[in-house]
Amino acid sequence: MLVAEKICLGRNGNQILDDITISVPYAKVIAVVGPNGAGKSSLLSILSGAISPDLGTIRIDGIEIQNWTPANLSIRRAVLSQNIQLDFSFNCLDVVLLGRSAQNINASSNAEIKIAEVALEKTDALHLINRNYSSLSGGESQRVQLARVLAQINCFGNEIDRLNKFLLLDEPISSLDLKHQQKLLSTVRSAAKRGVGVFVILHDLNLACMFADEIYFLKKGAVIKKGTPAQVVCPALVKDVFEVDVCVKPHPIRDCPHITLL
Amino acid sequence: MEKNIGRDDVIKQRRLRLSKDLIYFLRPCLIGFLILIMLGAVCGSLVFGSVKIPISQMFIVFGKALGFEILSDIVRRDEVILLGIRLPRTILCVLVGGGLAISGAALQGLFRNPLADPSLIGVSSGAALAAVSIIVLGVNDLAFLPNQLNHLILPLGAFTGGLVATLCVYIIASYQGKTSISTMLLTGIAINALASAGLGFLIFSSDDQQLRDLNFWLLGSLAGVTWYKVLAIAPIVIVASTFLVFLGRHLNALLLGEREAFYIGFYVEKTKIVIIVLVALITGACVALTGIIGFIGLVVPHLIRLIFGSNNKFVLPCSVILGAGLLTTADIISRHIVWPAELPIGILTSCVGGPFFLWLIMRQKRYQVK
Amino acid sequence: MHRFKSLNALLHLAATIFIFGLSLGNFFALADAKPAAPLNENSETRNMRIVSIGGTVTEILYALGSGSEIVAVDSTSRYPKEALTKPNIGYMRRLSAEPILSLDPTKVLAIEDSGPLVVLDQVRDAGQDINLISDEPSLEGVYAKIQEISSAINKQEAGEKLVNELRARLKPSIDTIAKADTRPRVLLLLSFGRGGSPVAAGKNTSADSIISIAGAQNTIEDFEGYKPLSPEVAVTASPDFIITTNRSLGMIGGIDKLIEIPGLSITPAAKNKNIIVMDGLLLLGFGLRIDEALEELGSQLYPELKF
Repeated sequence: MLVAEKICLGRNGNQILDDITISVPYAKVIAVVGPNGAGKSSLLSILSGAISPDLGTIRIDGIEIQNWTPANLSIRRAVLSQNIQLDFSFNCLDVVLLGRSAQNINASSNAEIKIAEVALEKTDALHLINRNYSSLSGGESQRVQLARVLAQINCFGNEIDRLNKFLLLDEPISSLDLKHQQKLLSTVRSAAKRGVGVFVILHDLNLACMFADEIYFLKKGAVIKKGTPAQVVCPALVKDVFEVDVCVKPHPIRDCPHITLL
Repeated sequence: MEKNIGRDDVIKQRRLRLSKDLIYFLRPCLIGFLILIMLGAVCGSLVFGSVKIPISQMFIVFGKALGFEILSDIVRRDEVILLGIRLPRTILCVLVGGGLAISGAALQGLFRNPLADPSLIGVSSGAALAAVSIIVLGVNDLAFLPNQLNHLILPLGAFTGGLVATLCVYIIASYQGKTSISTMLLTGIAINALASAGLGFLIFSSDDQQLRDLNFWLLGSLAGVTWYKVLAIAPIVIVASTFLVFLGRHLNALLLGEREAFYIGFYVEKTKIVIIVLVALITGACVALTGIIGFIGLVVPHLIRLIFGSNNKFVLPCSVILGAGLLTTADIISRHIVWPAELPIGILTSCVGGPFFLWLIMRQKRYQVK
Repeated sequence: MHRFKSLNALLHLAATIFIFGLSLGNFFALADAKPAAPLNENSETRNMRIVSIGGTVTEILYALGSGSEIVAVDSTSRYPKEALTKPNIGYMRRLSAEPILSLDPTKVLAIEDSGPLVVLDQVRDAGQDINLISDEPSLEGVYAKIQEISSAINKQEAGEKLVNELRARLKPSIDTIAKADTRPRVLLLLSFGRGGSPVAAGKNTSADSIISIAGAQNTIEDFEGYKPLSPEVAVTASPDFIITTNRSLGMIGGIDKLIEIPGLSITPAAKNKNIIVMDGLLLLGFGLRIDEALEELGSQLYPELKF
């Protein structure tokens, strides 16, 4: 379990995160939603170990994150940031293999390539495998990056490899079209079914409701409410956090709420 | 009209895409081709020279050096020229060409900028400042030292100067154990400016002879190479370059960004330090012996990237090969073009490298996909 | 299949280029494949081929009648005019071994201070001897140069003749200078590089030597070598004459610009426009034409005397 307790983070006099406690259990999808500037990306940076908070602790399986080496961390958790810039011309296969490059010196053995291919297939990007990364569209490149992240922790490998891992995703579907948005989130859900704990920042509330086990609503660096979508999503909460009027109804097919803008 | 242009562009892009994908498969034989160029240049450097030495003599001399006693008269002059002048010079060309090229490639990966050059971290200008100081202060011929050691004062001083300058850049750009690459870039520029000012002052206070000396040093030259000099820098350049090649994975990950590289599992700060140290060592050693030779660190990795893409697993080692081949070829030209004088090689690399680089940039602009 | 076709083609191309390159090398090498003549043996039977390094060395060689035997000179050899047509091996302190050897010389005469020393060692190692000619900035030094050079090329008699002729030509100037009752105070300025900032000649320079031979007094006594001219130094020096070379004056920008230099404008030399401009090699080279140099310098320093 990835646990962050009482996280406080301030920058330039602003309190970005204020006393946040969040836990990401294995085999669950935790979604974080909130308006711009709520501190979602900062929270992800802290959970991933890139930034140290001013106060509070982050633990993976009880061990504080500072005591993990980057290599050990990379085996247990993979992070997809927003807006990854890669200005150099790289083969897509090589980009995906980058995710595995720290764990294995021989990053182009057949086993590694198989892992990469599986990951690309899961993000519907297998046909791009020999394409040049710089020639891809925004959506295509995002899918390749997600494949890299999936390959890094080998979500879809054999049984032994799937336990006790985490995926931290910062708006992974922002450039994708509708079809691929659905596909990607389903992939993420199936990764969770195999035991991976997923922390995902989403902008689309409905998708969050559809795919997440638990939603955290963040506003101005504090957790306003958290819980399962059915439990917490209501017009009052949405109005409080996002300052818009909505109407919440049960989803026609799935077992989750559906939010309509008024 | 516009539609036609659009379609042409698409066709061109598709062709470029295909050719880039093809290259992926042709990589092994392209690498072989590069090795052939380098071997050809090395052979050419040994064969071509102002003094005409028949191939038969070459075999005799090299044979004797390797231990085979070939029963034939050996001409002493040819032996000295081949083994004492051309061979160390050729080896130096290979070392310096390869070293500067891989340093440029590594820094371009580190700065995530294809225009990065070893001079950005201040090592070239630091070495230049130290060398010119030694020339102008007149300490490069100390009476009490034996001749061989005297020859090493200038290179040693230049090497130290280069390392000191890089250290300054590093210290200024680091804070609490983290090195900011963008700050390093700016600091490098500032240190270069300071060194230029120092150089300017030294030039101002120099006399005619010193001025000529330091000008020649600054123009870059591979003449006057001895085995001592070559063997002094060979271990540094070879070992450091080998380490850099092994850092190819790290540099690849860094291309995604420092935070991404951390997520992938690399020690980012340590990697940065190690790369800077290795590049400073290689460049410092090369500049110390040969003066400033420009454009190798810039153009060679660029060319390699055009052919192989940016995967540092290939870019780093292939840069070494192509850099060695190119510098050796340039040296052959510099030895013949103004016979009986020799053109300082820095002039040649700048003359050829500059316009070539411009052409590369213009070509890239046309094929920009974004 | 496509792949293999391109592979094949590339390999063929590579092999062709490589073999072509080697054959070309072979061709050049064999084209001149007479084995190198053993050096320094039977140099009397072979034609003299002299490599002359140093402006004054070249000058003296021409005076000894060996101008046609010179096969190459360095970049400082600018007198006589014929020397400029000879192949140029570059700056005397930045030589390279192989070109010198490729000229197949019988003698290499190099002025002291040629280099780099490594290169001279390489040339010697290859079996080619180098005669280093001493470069003492004095009248005796000039005679020594002539003697060393003439003995190196086995023209001792001609050398002695030259020395005596020079002594004879110098005598009138030296006597006239000795008769002078004034010791003019002079400042010698040179300018190197862009920016045109001049340096002054202190003690232990060839400038200092020619000044004292000319019976004048170098106003710079505090330092050795060439140092940038500061206004205080210029004012303290207060020279009656300022001496400079054509090239330096060009870099400074002319006599008017020279006078404007801070500190110089109030010197007697500037006020009276006593600026002496001469050719650099002539004035400071301490070569054969030192008598001309002394005459010209003397006539300007002592206008009342006959030279």
